[in-house]
Order: sequence, then structure tokens, then C-alpha cells
Amino acid sequence: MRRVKPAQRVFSVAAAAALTLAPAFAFAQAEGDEGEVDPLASSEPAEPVKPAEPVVANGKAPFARVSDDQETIYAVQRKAFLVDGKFELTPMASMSFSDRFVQTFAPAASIVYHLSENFGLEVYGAYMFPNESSFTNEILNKKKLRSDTAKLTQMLWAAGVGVQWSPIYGKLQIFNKFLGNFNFYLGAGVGVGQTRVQCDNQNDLDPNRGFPVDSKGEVVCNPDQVDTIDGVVDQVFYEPNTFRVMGAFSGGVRFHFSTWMALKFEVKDYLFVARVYRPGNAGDALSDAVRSNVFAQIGLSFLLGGDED
Amino acid sequence: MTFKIRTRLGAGLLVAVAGATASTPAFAQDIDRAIQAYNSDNYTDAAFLFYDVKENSDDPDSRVKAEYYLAHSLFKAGYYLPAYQFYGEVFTSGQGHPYFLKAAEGLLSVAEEIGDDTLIPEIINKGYSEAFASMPAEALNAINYMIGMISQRRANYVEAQQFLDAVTESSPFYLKAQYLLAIMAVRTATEKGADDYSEAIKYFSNMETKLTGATGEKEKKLYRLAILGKARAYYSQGDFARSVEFYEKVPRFSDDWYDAMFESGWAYFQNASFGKALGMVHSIQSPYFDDRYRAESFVLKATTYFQMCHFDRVRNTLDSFFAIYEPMGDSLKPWMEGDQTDAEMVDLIVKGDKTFPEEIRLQIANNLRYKKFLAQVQEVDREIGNAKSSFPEGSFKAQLVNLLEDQRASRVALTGKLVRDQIRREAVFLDDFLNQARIIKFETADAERKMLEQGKDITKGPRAQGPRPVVPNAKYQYWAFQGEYWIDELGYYQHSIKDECVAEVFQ
Repeated sequence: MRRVKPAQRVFSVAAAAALTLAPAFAFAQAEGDEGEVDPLASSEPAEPVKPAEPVVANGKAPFARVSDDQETIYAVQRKAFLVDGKFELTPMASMSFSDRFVQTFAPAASIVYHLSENFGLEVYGAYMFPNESSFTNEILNKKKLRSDTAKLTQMLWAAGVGVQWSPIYGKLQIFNKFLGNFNFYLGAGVGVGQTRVQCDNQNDLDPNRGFPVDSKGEVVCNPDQVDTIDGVVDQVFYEPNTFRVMGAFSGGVRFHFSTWMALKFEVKDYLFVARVYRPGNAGDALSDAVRSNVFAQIGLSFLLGGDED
Repeated sequence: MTFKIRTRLGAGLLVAVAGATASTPAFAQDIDRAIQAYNSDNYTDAAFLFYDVKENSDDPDSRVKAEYYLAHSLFKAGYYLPAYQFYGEVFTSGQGHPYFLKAAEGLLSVAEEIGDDTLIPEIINKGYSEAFASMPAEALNAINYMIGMISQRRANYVEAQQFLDAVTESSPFYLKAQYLLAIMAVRTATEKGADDYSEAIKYFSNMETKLTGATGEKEKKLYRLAILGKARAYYSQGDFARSVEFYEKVPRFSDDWYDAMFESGWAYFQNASFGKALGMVHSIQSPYFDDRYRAESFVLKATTYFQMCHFDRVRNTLDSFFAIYEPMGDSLKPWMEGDQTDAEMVDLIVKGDKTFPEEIRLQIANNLRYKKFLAQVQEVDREIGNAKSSFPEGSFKAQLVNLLEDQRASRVALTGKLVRDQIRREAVFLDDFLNQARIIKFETADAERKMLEQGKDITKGPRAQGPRPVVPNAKYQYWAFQGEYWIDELGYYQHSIKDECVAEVFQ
């Protein structure tokens, strides 16, 4: 179990004779003789964390807070924000960051039903807007080089179901003012998605997938796509979309602001096998790759339902 | 001739008050001007003019009317303490005064405005009349509550019960009356040495039910007092587990939370949950409560260590306690035995003094009764300033200012007396804590002697870290205390403490 110290601090890990003295308490009047000050009601918010060093009371003697340094003291604390039995709806903005050849942006969403405080079932999905990365275009346009075709596979969308486990919790203080709780989680899931692959007439295409044939009898991406500018195709075409089974692994952290809202950062890795027909390339009819598309996601979670008790 | 006085009630509604018809022409002019000023919401002028009629009119009807409306105009103009004086004059003149009941209502309004629960209730109590029965229910409930409160303070519980029971459930005073009834039930049970506080608990439960979910500040305060009262009642009848249950219901970070935490420490102790008792001390001795007067927390801490035979820790605790609080006791003496004026005593609490313990000053400064009294002094100061600038020079202004200055003097005296009483009270408590600490010290030495006589070692070597606490379920989490206090952990601390008593010595 973890507990985060204030921002500037270290991140620490921590997975009968006398009875006669007991008092009878005074009862206050309705509007009280025993008024007290609200410790937190001052105009200056109290600092959430304070060191335990002794203070000097009235300049006379130190106020010892603990009798010795061998005292073992724990806090068994009810969590400030409970998720058990709640639905967590999270719209997210997502961006790929591990693929050198394809740059993808996507709106994404996740719905988690928390079966307990640290375990949940998840339904997730993302609709993607992929593009060749500047690197891909650069090597293609200037150096006439291409990556292994399967690695140019672009994700169009993905959806799946999975589980989430939150084994690690913590809290942190920001700027000595804001005290928040967070938890780290891990997730795994399986689902489906669609991909596409850029094609051009310089490469052989699968004749069995419905591509048109040009006057030379060769399969082309598009019959009109014969013109090139300086030998470079000036328009991008794609092979038909393909459904694929996709696994997903995720890890993230959610910071709770309130009982109903949290900020979520997540890294999600979509894994799938990309197989693209490329006869004649190094004598192999297929180009294969296990694609690992890692996305960074950020979103606001809204917690619905459940019971605060 | 006939005339009307227009008076505004809460929502600004015009209500006509028919006046007497007979008035001599010579003075009718004066009272007409006063009424005109009143009806024009020019209450300062109206007060001045009504005063003139009251002092100079030969017409008895105009005079009695002016007596009441002088008070009422002053009230409307924000001069509550002079209004209190003039309402009081009408009220104490008795039922024969045609504005007797209106004056009673006026006094209730002043009490509400200035938060007076001492002087005005006394006046109303003295002038209590069967004629009150014809007053509006709201006013009658307020009177019944006030008289009940006065009687309860005088320990006249039979009379207090009659008046408090008469406060109807629809009244804003109902729950306060219920609280006083609960307090009386507690005191009655305590005086009888009874083990049954069920009557008090019944009143507190009624309040709890009616105030659950309350949103107003006063209602929330009453709710907390009810919860706290219930916890104390269970404690008094020896049901410590139930007591803890209600102490824990006091909302965290509310102004009653500190008391709840500390008192629950004793309840945990009585319930043999020594680790939690020490945990409560740990919470209230945190830096967040450094402005608090925490002498008794050391007594609880030392007592708990003594109970577990951690004698070295008892000594450490008592050494700290004596070092801090013995000098504090000495520093109170000059203020109890000195010849400071009342005003100086008030200043002591308002401004502080380097020779006076700051924790005790804050303890008194936050006493609700003191706050009320001080607010009244500040209110008089405000009114004196206004009176000096608003009224023309003359006998009325002179009388008003004199009256306010008299009021100030009497309220400063009252506040000063309260401060002295509070200092004496704190001194007595502190003396008691010091005596308790001395007893624990003696008992510790005696226990150590017994161990030595039995050939046992009383030196305490290094202690191993205590086991982790039980975490009830996944809704809870645990943190090890590593020298830093986190505000959200207050109230949740517990010590992992082992009983070190040697059975054959302390059987």
C-alpha cells in the first residue's frame, strides 16, 4: 500500500486505580457554555500535513506529542471516497504515442462497474482518427522507403470488455492546500476492432480482396490512381477495412475530487496481429506483425449509483 | 381627531394600529409629527419626537403611547439597548399599561437581536402574567422557553419542566426546550446516583430524529449537542460502547468534534480499548489543535499507559505535563487575586497578555457565553457611536448616551465577572488535573516498587513494532504514522500497544 507525501516529499511505501480518574462530562447549555472553535473554520485553510516535532507551549516547555519513538501508531481510516457498487463513466481524450509510423487521436470512453472497492468490470471503446506519421511520409516521399507493411496498419476503432483491479491507494497534498485520494489500477480486456492499411500501386495487392485491375492486368488500389507526381502517389488509398480481435492492457490512476467525480489518467495498450498480403516481398506472401498500439488517455470520471455507507 | 400608526412587520406588511382618539390639540400636533416620522420610516426622528411627547405631554394617552413607540422606534432604528430600556419601563409598569404585552414582545425581539439570554429573561420572569396567554403563540413559546431556562439555571426543575413542556412543537424554541429538558434529566439522574439515563436519552433521541439532515447553522449545532449529549448520557450510565458510537457520530471538523474525540478517548479507555484511547489523545495532541488547552489529555494518556504498565511512558508523559502545566497554574494566580478592573479582564481575553496562558485565553475567548457577552459590549459601542452622530444635541441625546454608557458599564461588568469566573474554573480544573497526575506518579512509583520487590526488572528495553491493526473491510485503509500528521487521519489513530503488566505482581 502506498502513501504519497506532499509533492516535495518522498514517495514512501507501506504495502484500575487509574479508572477512578475517569471523568464525568459536563453538559453544555443549549447555546452552550462550552463553545469551541472549529479547527478548520479559520479563514486560512489548515495545512493538511503537519510534522510531529514538539512545540513550545507558552515558551516554557516542549509539548511532547509522542512519549518515545518506539510507539507504534496507525490510522485505520474509512476511505474518503467509496466506489463499491458504483458505475464509473469516463469520457476520455486519447492519443497514441508508441507508434512511429501512425499517429492516432481518438475520443474514448469507459464504463466500469465496481464490484468491490478494488475490483471492477469494464466496457471500453474508442473511435480513432489515424494518420501516417510525419516520419512515415518523410521516408516514403524523400527516400522512397517503406516500413514493413503490416506495421503501417492503422486502427479505426476498438471496443471490448475487461476487468480492473486497484491494489494500490494513496493520497497526496498539493501546494499544502488540497488533499486528495488516488488509486492505481491495472486492467485487462479483450474485444474487436477494425484496421486499415495504406496501399499504393508500387506494391502487390491481394487479388482476392476486390481490388480493381488496371490495363496491364495488375491489381491497383484505384484505377484512376495511375498518375504520380515525380513517381510519388499524390493521394492516399487504403486497403479495405479489416476486423481484428484485440486484446488490451491498461494501467492508470484516478484522483478523487469528490464522491462523484475523479480525474483519470490511463495508458492503454491495444494488441492485435496484423497480417497484410504482400506477395513478392522477400519471397513471402504475407507481411505479419504483432501490433502494440499504446495510447495515453485522460478523462473525467463520473460515479453514479452505489451507497455511501 | 383620529390617527393611525403604521408599523411594519417582518415582510414589510402594513398593519394599522388604532390609537386612542382623545388627544388635546396642543399635543396632538407633536405626536402627529412623531407618527408621521415613524410612518415615513424615519425612526431616529420618530424616537426623538416620541421622547418629547413622553416627557412633555400633558395628555396621558399620548404619553403612554409615546412610551411604547419610543422604544419601538429605537428598536427599528437599531438602538436595541435603549429600546430594551424603554420596553422594560413599559413592561415593568405592569398589566395596567395598555402596551404591556406589546412591550413584552418588544423585549423578546431585543433578546433575539442582541442574543441576550440573561437580563431580558429575568425581566420577563419577574413580570410574568396570566395576560401572556393572549399573546401570539410564537411570543408565548419564547416566554415559556425563557422562563423555563431561568428556572432550570436556578435548579428549580419542577417549574422549569412545566414551562419547557409548554413550548409547542411548532415553535423554533421547541428543540432548545427539549435540550434543556434533557439536561435536567441528566442532572436529576446524576444527583440521584442513578444508572439509568433513559429519560435524557429519550429527549436527545427526539432531537436527533428531528434535526437529522438539518441545514441551518443553529440547527446543526443543536444536532451536534444532542448527539454529544446522548454520548455523554450513555457514558454516564456505563454503556461505553454505545457512548463511543455516538461520539463518532459527531460530524468531523465541526466545532464539537474536538470535544467528541477527547471524551471518546475516555470512553474507549473505559471500554478497555486502550490503543484507541491513546489514538484519540494522539489526535488531539496533533499540531492542528495547538491552540487548545489540552491538560486533561495528558492525564488520559498517563492513565492509559499506567493501565498497560508502560511505566517509562507514564513518566515521560507526566514529565511533559508537569513541565507545561505547573507553571501555567502559577501564572493564573495573579489574575485571580489581582485588582484588575472588569474592563481589564475583558481586554485580557480580547487582546491577550504575555503573562497569561494563551491556551486558556483562547479557551475562554471561544466560550459561547463569553462571546455573547462580548458581542453585547460591542453592540453598545456601536450604538453609542451612532447615537452621538445621529441625534441633535439636547436632553434626549444626553439621556440616550448616558443610558448606553450605563449599559456598557453593566455589560462590561458582567463580561468581566464571567472572565474571572472562567479563569477560576480553569484554575480549579487545572489544579485537579495536577493532583490526578501526582496520584498517577505516586501509583507508578508504587507499582515499580512492587515489581522490584518481586525481583522483576523495571527497565524497559527497546520495544518491537506493534502488529498492524485490523482493517474491517475494503472500505477502510490503514496508514502507519511516520511522524507526520495528516488532517484526514485525525480521529482514526490508534496505538498498537501491548499489555506489559506482570501477572504475578499485579494480580
